[in-house]
Amino acid sequence: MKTKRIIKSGFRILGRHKMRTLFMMLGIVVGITALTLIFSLGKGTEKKVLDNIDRMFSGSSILVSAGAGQMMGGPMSGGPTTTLSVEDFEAIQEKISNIETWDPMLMIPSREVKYQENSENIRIFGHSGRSEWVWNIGITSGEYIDSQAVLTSARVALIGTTVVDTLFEDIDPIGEQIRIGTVPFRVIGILKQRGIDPHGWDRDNEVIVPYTTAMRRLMNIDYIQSAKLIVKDPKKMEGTVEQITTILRDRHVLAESEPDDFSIITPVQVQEMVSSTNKIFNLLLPLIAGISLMVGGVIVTNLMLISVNERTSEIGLRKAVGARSKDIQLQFISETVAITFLGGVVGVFIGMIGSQALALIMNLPPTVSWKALVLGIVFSSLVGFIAGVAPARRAASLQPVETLR
Amino acid sequence: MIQLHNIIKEYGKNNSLSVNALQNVSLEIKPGEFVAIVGPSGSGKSTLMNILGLLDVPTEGSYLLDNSEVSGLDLDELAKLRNRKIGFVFQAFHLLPRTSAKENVELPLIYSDRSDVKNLAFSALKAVGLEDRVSHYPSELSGGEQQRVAIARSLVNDPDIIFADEPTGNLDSRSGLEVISIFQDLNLKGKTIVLVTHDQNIAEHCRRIIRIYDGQIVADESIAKPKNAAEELTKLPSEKKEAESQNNV
Repeated sequence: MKTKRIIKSGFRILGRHKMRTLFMMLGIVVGITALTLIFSLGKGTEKKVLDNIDRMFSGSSILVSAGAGQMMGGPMSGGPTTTLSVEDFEAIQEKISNIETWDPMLMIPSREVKYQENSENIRIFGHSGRSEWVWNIGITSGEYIDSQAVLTSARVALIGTTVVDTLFEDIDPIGEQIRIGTVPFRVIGILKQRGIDPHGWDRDNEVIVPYTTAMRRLMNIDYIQSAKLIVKDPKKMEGTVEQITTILRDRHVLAESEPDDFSIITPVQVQEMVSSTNKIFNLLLPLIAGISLMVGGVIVTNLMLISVNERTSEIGLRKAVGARSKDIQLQFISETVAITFLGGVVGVFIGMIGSQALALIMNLPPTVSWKALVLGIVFSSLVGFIAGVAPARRAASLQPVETLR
Repeated sequence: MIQLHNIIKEYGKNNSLSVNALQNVSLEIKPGEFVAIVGPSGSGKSTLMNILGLLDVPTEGSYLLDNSEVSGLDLDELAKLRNRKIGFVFQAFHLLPRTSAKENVELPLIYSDRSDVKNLAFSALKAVGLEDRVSHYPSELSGGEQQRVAIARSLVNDPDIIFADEPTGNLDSRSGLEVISIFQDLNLKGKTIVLVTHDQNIAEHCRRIIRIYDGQIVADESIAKPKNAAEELTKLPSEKKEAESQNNV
């Protein structure tokens, strides 16, 4: 009972000096707001990245790329690896029962695409008709590439909505003739909108042609850059990857000591990559927020020490009417905890509103990190407790005889 | 109720410059008394008051409060005793700023073990005539009213004895008389009151005067007919009007 009364009175005393209380709260509010923002936005960005990856790279997918240490086509070091072929994957599909289907991918990073007087440099992809399913690519009008087009290396193209806007403006592109480089193509379909991907690429500023056409007429090569496979049973993923590795090493005639001339990426690896980048995010920034929280605590300690020095006669009086040293300590620690608790609540509140607003601007899914909320309030109260120790000790050491004369 | 026996208070015991603030002080105060302790500054009256009020411990000697020895108690035990048995009134009032009169009066209750605390503060304020100043802040009260709040605070735990240290020192003569009048009233109702002052006039309102000089008691006399503060108050306004009319002439 007495303890409760002392704590309550400690909390109420803060109303006495509103400006000073506000100042003491400032450091804590900043620290907790930062912490809440970071956690909420961090969760949001991670979620968005994983969502995006999920859309393009579901749990049943395996991506095989030519050359070790490459992803999504495009060489990273040295020249292109030329050993990955369509026949490799036909063999893989034949020999591994867990493979449901697959689709090859070729990419030309930039080539001039012309329609009448309009021209733009656009990214070109080569796929098979199965790409509609394997890569989840849709069309909004016209028709998709079919197996006949692949067989005959037909000069047909699917174009994205940004390409439509840039080259065709208000004209219906279906049936029109475009030039990719020097080669004429006929537009047979418009791709469904996909937006901007985590790399910052505009996925609607692309053109898709049959891979055979890309290989023979646009790139003049007989190898492919990568392929995406869909497995029937994701639980057997590990075994399937091993089998693919064996088959490819065998077909590419690689000696035991030679490394793979291809790389295989599974969704688990992708998620791990995302998490590890996030780990830096998740470690460094909370550290900074933690430091600002500590600064807030130091501010509270100092201002409270000043307060104690000013309130010596009050402390002496309390002791005279019966407060023991530990009652005085309890009172002052209650005051600092009340300040930092309140600061934590305000900080969490501002942080939540701020993160929702920022999520809206940055086009992230708004996530509420309840962990951040609880942690924020707990940590701020903890800081208050620690910050109050020194001032409480000093207050408790004062004797009424010295202070009441 | 109070029995001091050969109390010695020494400061600076461990070096050669030690000072004896109190030397072999012995006295007895019975319940219901109204005692003034009078002496010049440096006489040791404050030291004596601090020891009587359990705010300080004697270096040597015995202090029996209600027949139990208190000179050897630790700080926490002394605090508990002060809370239960002693009420304080100070020269500088020592009210908590920006806190209502009611909350100021309730302060000792926070540290008590009592649970029946609901209306005690209000009753105490009523006893000093301030029942309609309950929510006022000290800054909104006159000096006399503030001291009366302090008196109410000293009463709220129903102590056995009230110690007042120069209670009228910061007050004008009218407010001072009002305060002394309240003390006299409380004493009539049975409260033991010990007042420390250097003002002979104030001391003559009490029923016993103990004189202290250089750390020793030099006189201890009972007053047959103490001055009546309430009566003096009724005389005051006419005297004031006389002074005013004199100024106008």
